[in-house]
Amino acid sequence: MKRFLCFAVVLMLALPVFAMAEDPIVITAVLQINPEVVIDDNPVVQYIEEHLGIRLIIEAPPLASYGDRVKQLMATGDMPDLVHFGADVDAKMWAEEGLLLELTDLIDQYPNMSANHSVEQRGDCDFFGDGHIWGLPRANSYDRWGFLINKKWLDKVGKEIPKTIEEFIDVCRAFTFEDPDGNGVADTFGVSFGVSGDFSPWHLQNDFVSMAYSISGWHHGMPDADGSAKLRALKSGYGDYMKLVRLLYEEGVLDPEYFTPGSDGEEKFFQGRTGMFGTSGKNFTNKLEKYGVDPDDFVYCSPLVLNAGDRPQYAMPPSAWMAYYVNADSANVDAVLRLLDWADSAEGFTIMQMGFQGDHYNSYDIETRTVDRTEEQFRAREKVTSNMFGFANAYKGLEALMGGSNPVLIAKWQKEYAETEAATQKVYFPFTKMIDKVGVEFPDEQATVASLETRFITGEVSFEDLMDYVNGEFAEKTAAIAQEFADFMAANPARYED
Amino acid sequence: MTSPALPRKTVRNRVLRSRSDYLLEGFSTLVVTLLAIFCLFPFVYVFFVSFMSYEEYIANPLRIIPAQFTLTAYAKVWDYALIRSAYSVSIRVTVLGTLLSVFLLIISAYPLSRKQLGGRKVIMGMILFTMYFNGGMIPNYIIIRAIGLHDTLGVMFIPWAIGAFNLILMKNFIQQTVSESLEEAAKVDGANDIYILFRVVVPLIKPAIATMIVFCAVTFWNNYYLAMMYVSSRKLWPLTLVLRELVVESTSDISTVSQMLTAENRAHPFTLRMAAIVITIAPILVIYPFMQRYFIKGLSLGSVKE
Repeated sequence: MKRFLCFAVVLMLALPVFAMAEDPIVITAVLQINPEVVIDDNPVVQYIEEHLGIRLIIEAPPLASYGDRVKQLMATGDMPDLVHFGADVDAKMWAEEGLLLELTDLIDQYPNMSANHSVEQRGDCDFFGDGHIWGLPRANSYDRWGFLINKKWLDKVGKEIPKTIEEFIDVCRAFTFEDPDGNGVADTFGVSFGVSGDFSPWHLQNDFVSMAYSISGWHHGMPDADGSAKLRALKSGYGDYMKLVRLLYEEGVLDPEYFTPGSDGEEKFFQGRTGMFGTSGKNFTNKLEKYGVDPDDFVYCSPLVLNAGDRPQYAMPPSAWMAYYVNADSANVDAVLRLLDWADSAEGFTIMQMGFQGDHYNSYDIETRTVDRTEEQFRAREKVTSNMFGFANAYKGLEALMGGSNPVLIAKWQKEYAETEAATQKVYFPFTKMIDKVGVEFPDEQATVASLETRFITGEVSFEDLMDYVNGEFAEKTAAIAQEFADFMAANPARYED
Repeated sequence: MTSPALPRKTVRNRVLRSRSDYLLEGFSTLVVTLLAIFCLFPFVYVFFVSFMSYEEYIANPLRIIPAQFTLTAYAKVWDYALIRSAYSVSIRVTVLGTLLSVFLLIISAYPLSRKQLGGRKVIMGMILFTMYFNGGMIPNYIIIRAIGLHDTLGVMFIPWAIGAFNLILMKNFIQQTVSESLEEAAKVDGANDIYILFRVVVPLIKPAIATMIVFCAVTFWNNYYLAMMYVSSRKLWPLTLVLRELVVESTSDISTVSQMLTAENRAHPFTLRMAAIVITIAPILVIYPFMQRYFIKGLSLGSVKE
């Protein structure tokens, strides 16, 4: 009887220990997740709990105010274990304030994480340029910014696909003034550019034009024509690019609504209101599918060049989609990093991007990045996960799906992607975080340049007014940053690949 | 001594109007009609496009009447789990918030309208102060969190149940409508303050209460900011926040966020957005005609101070 009682007492004391051992580790996270995904009772989250022993408590704020919400949490000391946010000046400030965990030595302790993030990609979170990494950039595939052209219009006006800036202007004029849609009304434009926030001629979607002048709108590491490193406004082709946009605007061949923040150039292109539109070569067939247009009516083309015979170039900065930051005071650092590591594995990447076999697809080949799934499975997957929910948007440098969802689109993508890839030189260069200082230390000067650019394009100020300011006050004040940038690029030169 | 203005020539008591009067009236009618069309056109466009197929919209975005009506956009919008939960949240917040607001307005405005209330000016000064100054976003958030309202349904109406502006309107209305002699008469008959408030004052201020119900209901229905700031769970998002999520691309100045928002999974077809707008504004559009007279009355409520 005594032995039985002793055994019972020991068992009762031990039970909580066993129970504790099986309790999942709770991690709080603020993530960007599109509203279609249902977070409550989410099968992916349940899978993570069952297989990793991690209970993920997700807050997914409205996307339109995501940044404000994260800043609010950081300011009030409510930072969760894991936060998804841009690798920008705010994140740098949080690193300075000691809110973020330094990951420099930790990344290599997790095999999938270290394998799926190149050293160049990690550079996005090297906020102080000293090799210390403060976040895990969300792995993404390389973009290639070329353009789509309306082939039917091109045939109607009897032109060839433009390769040079001169041919581009010629096609823009034909698309605007020769009634390419044949409706008898002058209601078309040659091209619509991309906009970001307030009007700016600098957008990745416009890189197919600006790269002819060795300028990538958002990525300053792109060397100038002579190979030197200069701030965007100080590059040798800057003035000519501005003159080109002014010419397109003045002649009315550039969609004037391009100046309206929020105007949707992509939709206009597929509505048949403009004839050319900048887009990434890695997923242009997704857009053809999205708008339900005839794929044969559109052709993907390489970026433009200045002179016939020049080789077009793709700007290839390391590609990352914001970054994940770990709370410096988190009690569950290992669990957070295990979660990110799993998401970078083939299994984690597949589940977070595609869902579960049977429920959301019949088969998925991670080597060819192709999937076999029904419409019902696709719809079911929309409620479970998305490429926004996935902690990695690329595995071994490639996205989950490439080319589209049916054989016709995949064949078109493979053909045109391969042709433009062969024709175009790739220019790889690192992240250049020191450029952020221009906006932080000289916000008024940066705003003045942007204002002068807009006013020059609309004809309110002269080219001399613009260039006098750029080469005068702006160049003088930003000289130290420009020098730091030049020194960095000298130590980390761009790499050219054919 | 000036003689009273002579009436215009009349025929059987009707004022004879000159040609210029007719011209002026015609012109005014024309201008008002044009303005009404300008105001109405966006609603008409949104309504009809919500019944249009996306392919038809893409083919001709300026088309107003669809060639073929389809409910596809509504089916897709209703398929969002968030829309269904958000409808429930919005209705609960609007009903509970309006009831609480109006109750608090009545019990606050009544004593403030009585001259015998000690320290009335100080209290009114403190209330006025809140119209011009507040703690700001972060202190508000810290207080909300400290009192345990963060991420609850109540955070969308309890801290904001009473507004200084509405309180002043109500106080002035009571001052103008309910005479102190009436109160004294009730007191002589043995009524206490609570009895006087609910049996004497409230029946007299019904028009003001109706107006406040409309004001508060519209405010609570339309508000998305509170949920955006103080709610973490999506199941507590109100309809307007879901609508904003579907319609607004980005107000963020973070380029990387903007970049993500232009990704494929954030591109909601236009017709879907229009259907979401119709679903969101439908309850207010249905109720509004019945409450319009109170809304108009509210414009002049309490505007005359004795």
